[in-house]
Amino acid sequence: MKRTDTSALVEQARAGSAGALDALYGRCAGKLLPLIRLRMGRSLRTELESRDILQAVLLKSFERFEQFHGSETRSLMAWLARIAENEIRDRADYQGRGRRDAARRAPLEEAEALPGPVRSALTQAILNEQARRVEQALEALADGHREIILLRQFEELTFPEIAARLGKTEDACRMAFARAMTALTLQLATRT
Amino acid sequence: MTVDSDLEQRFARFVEHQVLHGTRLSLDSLVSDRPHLAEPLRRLIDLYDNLTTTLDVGLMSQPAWALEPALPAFDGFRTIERVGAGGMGQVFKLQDVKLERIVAAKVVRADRRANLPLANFLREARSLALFKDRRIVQIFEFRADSDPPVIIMEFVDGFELGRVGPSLEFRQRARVLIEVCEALQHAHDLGLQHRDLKPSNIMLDEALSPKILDFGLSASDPSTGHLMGTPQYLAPEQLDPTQPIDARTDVYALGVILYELLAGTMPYVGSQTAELHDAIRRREPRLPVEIDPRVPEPLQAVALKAMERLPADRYQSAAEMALDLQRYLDGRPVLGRPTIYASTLGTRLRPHIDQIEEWLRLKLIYPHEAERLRAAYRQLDAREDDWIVESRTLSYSQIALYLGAFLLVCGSLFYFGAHRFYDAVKGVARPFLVLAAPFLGLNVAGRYLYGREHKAVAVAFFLAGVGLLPLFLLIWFHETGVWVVAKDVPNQIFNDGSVSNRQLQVTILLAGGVARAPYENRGARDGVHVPALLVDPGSARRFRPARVD
Repeated sequence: MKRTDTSALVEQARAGSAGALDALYGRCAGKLLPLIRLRMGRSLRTELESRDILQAVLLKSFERFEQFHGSETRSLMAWLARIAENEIRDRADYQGRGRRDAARRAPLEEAEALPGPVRSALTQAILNEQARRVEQALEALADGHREIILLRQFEELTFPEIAARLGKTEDACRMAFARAMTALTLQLATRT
Repeated sequence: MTVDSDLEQRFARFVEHQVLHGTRLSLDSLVSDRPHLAEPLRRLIDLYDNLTTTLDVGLMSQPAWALEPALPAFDGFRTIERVGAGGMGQVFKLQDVKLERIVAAKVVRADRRANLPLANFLREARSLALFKDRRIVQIFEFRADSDPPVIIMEFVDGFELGRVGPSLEFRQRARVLIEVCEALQHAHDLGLQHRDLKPSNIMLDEALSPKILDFGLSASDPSTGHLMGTPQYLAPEQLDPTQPIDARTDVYALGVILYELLAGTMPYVGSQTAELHDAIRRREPRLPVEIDPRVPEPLQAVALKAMERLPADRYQSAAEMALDLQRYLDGRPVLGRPTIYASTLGTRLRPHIDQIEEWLRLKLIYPHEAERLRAAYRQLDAREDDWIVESRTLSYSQIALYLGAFLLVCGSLFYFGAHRFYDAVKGVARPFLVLAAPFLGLNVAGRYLYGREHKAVAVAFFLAGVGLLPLFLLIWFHETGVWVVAKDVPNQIFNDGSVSNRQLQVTILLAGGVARAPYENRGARDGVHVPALLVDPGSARRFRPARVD
């Protein structure tokens, strides 16, 4: 599946194709879980929480799928990443105030009520060994390298979008991305 | 500059070029001055390609890191996706541009091409081309000259047996395995063994019909093919290069597959290869019913029988295994008695038998009770013969059918011909003429059928022969006038004076004894031992047990 296929999938999902929605969530969840974990930072991260957040993000996006149409980016991943960021911030606040919203912490085992695509995406993401390896390699990278790979590969932003976000030129972003990818590959090579 | 950083810089140049310009620098141009860096650099580039593919497809499909990233193109086909990758090869889903049919293409992995000469690949294609069984994947074409060389074959859309298996009913699992056995028998008949059977090489379609894939290791030479294949499914003889490999090696793998289907776990495990090999060679597997109590015992017996350590103890062919599985489906007892049953039982019985001695020593039980207990244990230990198991499975309707058919034949023979001879001869010759011939005929037929492994039918013939015996005796008594004593005693069953009660009595006793004889005294070929005790109810006088030779 190529990058452009995502938007095609979005169109099909919007047209009501269950298969397309399934594929879409399968695709997104795999990237979203590492993205959430990496963005959360060590202090907030526990295994269950990042899954909870993934579940919450997928659920919210499932409910508000219509809103995606109106968002400024064409990247579904970027849209999901923003929902995830909000979710992380909300939870960090709760954590800080020592409050726990029991309803939000529903464990995965109670996931029977989840819509089909969300559930299958979740299971796939959790079982995905490969995502885990990429994630670990990413974690070992320098912050700048990690962030640009997250923006480009996980949020699936275009280089002009990344340039705007980071306040740099497009060429500088490309160069940084190339260096980051080199570093990531070398990181993976040392691990295998 | 160290070798490592030199390599990394060259790799960085490749990535930059790729990201900034969208084109790939050739490996040669990157390492033209340092040829020894070519191999490590190629590995890095492969890894990079994999990484980008993985990130692009959303981390969802699972290409192994060391696999080729790009989809290969084949003339006349559109490559759709990669559907599988194994130790040696990869399989792609293609669409035939002209025929628009979906096919599968199998290629050898780039990094393994050196180890796997084209000749081997060609051999797989040739073996596939031999088969004409819908349950074995069909080959369409072999292209030796394309790059990479490719086998174009039927695309099997379905699920791996390993994934579907656990959700099937036990009967369905048996049915699937029967089909696999039969397909394999087809391959064996052509002299080829699969040698890499495992659930992931068996695909099930939606009708649960299996298809066997991947004949990449198939061969017919008994002296080669050791230590190849998937470790968990290797038969003991595959671990020992001095042992020959034959069709029974596949039977072993079938046994492991069935075991796995039943128990949900592998029979032998080991974290290291050596440990696993040792387990396969020496350890006894746990009984599947111990792991899952719902497992039907007959299926367990079939699995363990097929997994016997010595090929001679296994089913001797896949067809034989299929037949035994079919017996389970038909509700008949299976014939396979795994030696593990006897050995397990043997080791567990010994303490009990020792206990009997102890009880006897303490005079807790009488010697005859001890003997009875020992006999009971001996019976547990002894293996029942096939033919007894077989004959127990005869249903009443079967017996009635065989006997009925026989009586019809005898009756018509007698009606149309035999009565003429009957009138012509006199005395003892009469019953011999009329009944001894069919009696002998039945026995000959029974023996013949027994030899041809139609044991159930053979036993029915023997029974029919035994059924003739009272008739024969009655006629003989009537003709010769023996045992006519007490004919004038009142309350005779037959008032016409043809047969006296005494004659009937003796007939039944004798015939009953003969009928029981084959079960008790199978070894006696020279005669039939008649254990019946002849008792004269009138005088309470006992006759000696007779031996009719």
